[in-house]
Amino acid sequence: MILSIKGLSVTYQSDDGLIFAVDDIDLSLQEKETLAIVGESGSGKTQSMLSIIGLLPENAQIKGEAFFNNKLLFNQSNNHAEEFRGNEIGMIFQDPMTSLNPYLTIEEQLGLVLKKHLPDEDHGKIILEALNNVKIPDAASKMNQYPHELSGGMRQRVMIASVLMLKPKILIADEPTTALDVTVQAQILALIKDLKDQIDTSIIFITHDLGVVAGISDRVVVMEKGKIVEEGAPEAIYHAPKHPYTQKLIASIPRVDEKNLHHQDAFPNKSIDADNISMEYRIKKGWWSFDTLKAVRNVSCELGQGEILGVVGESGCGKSTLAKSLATMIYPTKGKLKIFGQEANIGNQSLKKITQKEVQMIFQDPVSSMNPRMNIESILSEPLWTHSPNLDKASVREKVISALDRVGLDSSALFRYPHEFSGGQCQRIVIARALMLKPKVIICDEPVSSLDVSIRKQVLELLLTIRKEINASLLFISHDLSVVRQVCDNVMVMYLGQVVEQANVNELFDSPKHPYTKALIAAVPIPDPNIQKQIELKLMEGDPPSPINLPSGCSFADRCAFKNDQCKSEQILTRVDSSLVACIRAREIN
Amino acid sequence: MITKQSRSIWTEAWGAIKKNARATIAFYVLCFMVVFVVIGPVFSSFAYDFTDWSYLAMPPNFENGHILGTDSLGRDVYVRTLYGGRISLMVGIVSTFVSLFIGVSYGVFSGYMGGKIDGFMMRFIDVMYALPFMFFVILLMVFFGRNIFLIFIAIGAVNWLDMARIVRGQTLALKQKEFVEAAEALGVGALAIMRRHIVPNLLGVVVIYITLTIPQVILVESFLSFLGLGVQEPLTSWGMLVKEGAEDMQSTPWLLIVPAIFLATTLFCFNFLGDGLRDALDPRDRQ
Ligand SMILES: Nc1ncnc2c1ncn2[C@@H]1O[C@H](COP(=O)(O)OP(=O)(O)O)[C@@H](O)[C@H]1O
Ligand code: SF4
Ligand SMILES: [Mg+2]
Repeated sequence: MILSIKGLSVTYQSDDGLIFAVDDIDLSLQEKETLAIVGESGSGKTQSMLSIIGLLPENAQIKGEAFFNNKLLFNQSNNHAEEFRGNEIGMIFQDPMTSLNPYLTIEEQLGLVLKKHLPDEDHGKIILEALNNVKIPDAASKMNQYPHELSGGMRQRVMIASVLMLKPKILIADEPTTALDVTVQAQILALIKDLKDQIDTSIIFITHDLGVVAGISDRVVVMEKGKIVEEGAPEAIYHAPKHPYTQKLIASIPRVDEKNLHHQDAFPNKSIDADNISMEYRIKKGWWSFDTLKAVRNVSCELGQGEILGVVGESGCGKSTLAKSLATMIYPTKGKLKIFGQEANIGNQSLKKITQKEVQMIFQDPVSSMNPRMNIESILSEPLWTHSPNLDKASVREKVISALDRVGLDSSALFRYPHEFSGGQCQRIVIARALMLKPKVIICDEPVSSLDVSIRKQVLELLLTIRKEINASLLFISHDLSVVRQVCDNVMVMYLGQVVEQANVNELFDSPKHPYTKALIAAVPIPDPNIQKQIELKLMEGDPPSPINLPSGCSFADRCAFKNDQCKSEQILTRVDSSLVACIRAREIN
Repeated sequence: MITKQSRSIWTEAWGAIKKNARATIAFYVLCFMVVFVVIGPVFSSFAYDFTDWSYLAMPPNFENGHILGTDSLGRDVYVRTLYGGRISLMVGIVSTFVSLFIGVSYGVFSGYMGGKIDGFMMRFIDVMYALPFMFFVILLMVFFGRNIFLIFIAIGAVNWLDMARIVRGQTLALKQKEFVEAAEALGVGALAIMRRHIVPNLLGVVVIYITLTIPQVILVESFLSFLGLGVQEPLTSWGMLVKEGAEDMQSTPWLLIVPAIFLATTLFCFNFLGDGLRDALDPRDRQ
């Protein structure tokens, strides 16, 4: 046993009394074991790990004891945790940018760590080797780059390298893939899986996403409200969960490999019709020169009345830009966009008036999409103030209360402020705000990404019922493919501003045609250890190229496994079976 | 946890003050000071400009009612100090609010409108900064005579520049927030967005600014008084009193000590209060 924790509690004194961040947990870790700690935000995962590397804030009180290799880490009276940090126990965090110094090159950063722990060795050699171990391509040149010049996935690799180069006995990874796109997440998971076999480091993998750890963990611990509620082999946890909380958690995960049974195909009335639209941003290059960034390129799509159209793709692929244009917050620089039958352009201000009322947006982060200094009543009244200024106070309040009621909140919420609500409740309020004007179209930009899994399901169900009630169309933007599969009728896959595949939801997920769609779907972790352990991931390497100065030809070419000489020409959407695919080889490879 | 009460800026500010012992004391002392300069003179039988010929330059004395003494013209120091306090605090508070009003409006407008308007408005501020304001104030005083309104205007005119810059910076940050974007998508007008969404979220900086600017203004007024450009006799201010007291420091020390204590206490308290609030409220420190 390399680590054993007994009776650990971490408490904080607050205005409302003692808060138990961690409440009397016992935990052990074997040599070379990969332990997954799963739980929703605030369940005490990070706090329990910070205690064993001695990084808890000063006002935290620790109870209990912990041993590393039978050596005391801490107990009631002594705390030696700091002495083990780095060389014996290393930790990486969700956002690598916060752990990296933006002013130092990668070599300098890692050099600093080495200087402290291994002052006498050849740093350059160790660093290069460490970077190669985490499969950073062209490591020698990356050494001289600054963190912001690297992609999120590369930064996380650098962090892993910086921990592993000291050859610690334990690597703690706290949500290392949460901030990354699925494809990059899959790369990092594959890396960790490889490392597991090569080095004799035990790994503690903290996550809120049961899917992520299904394939890599030897043992799973489920935490809720500071307590360990269940512990066991992955097979047992995933297939026969015993504790009600684990059962709820497992049941609430949408699965990308299960059919969507309530999707609809035909939508005769069109709300929005985009014909070959492009959107460009001008990026200042020098004093007088501009680069053109093509955020959206030649996109054609239709949104039927009552339809839920999913838009998926890695971050930066143009999803949000497309959404903004549908809300007439920006206008296409090329192509024709028709909203409710009218053409959208700067000249058409009457359409803008209409869309401000009929097209509503729901943003990713519900908390920051509400003014912290406005109470819920004002937040919900604002749409009415703006669009029905003559409504008297009593009827405004009546409408606000009925909107709250519809999203499952009561009138006691009226005079409270956003920060007094949980993330899930906030998203309900934001949904209520979007419903105030009974819009025809609701644009949801990652509406559940910032919510915990168990709350996600409730919010999604709420969205679906509401859509039925008012027969609105939904543009559902998400990078979470499992959610998209369970929610949408039709799906568009975007890559570098282009739609590369478009089909109805089950067609797209069951038989993806474009190589990018294939890779994207394959990268989604499935919350079932039997499946996930077997899958030999066909990994998509690298990151998408910059949308400035795009190469000509198929934009996916430099990451595509099927590329050949035919791919040099520009790809346009063509029909393959019932899908539209932008790949010249689609017929051959399927 | 849904136990906290509403997040009005004032409750938040008060919560911040309460956490800091120094700021709490400073707050109470200031409240007392304001009340005292307003009602304090009632407890004395002398008017601020009354000359008591029988007691010229008297040290503090309880028997004849001049508890803090008289000046060389026989005027009661206790009453004059409180009257001076009224003027000093008023100059401080009124000027601060004048500059606050101008600065916030200007900064919010400039920051929210952005683009060319913003560029132009900020260049204007740069130009204003470059002008030697103290020099103008002195010139104006020389031409138009000593006038308390001139002092308000002059001081306010300098201070709003800082406020406008700070507020513009904050506005630029707020403009990126999703709730502003949401309001824009909804079609809320520019003025309503500024009023409803931007200004209320600036209150943190504003409160800090108020507590740090009032003492600064009081100090500037004292400085002007020291140059002989303060308020007109027989009105007075703490700065004037300190200046007059300093002239005869050896023979009549109480004329210096009494107003100096009042002035220093007030300045200290404002600064303690401002520091306490800044620690707790400054959005730049809060992540
Ligand atoms: N206001 C802007 N100015 C310049 N570039 C932008 C702006 N907004 C978005 N972009 C760029 O446009 C591309 C598409 O962005 P976005 O639509 O936000 O993607 P997604 O929502 O899919 O993550 C990205 O490369 C992004 O950096
Ligand atoms: S066109 Fe060629 S490079 Fe592009 S996706 Fe198809 S096979 Fe790959
Ligand atoms: Mg986005």
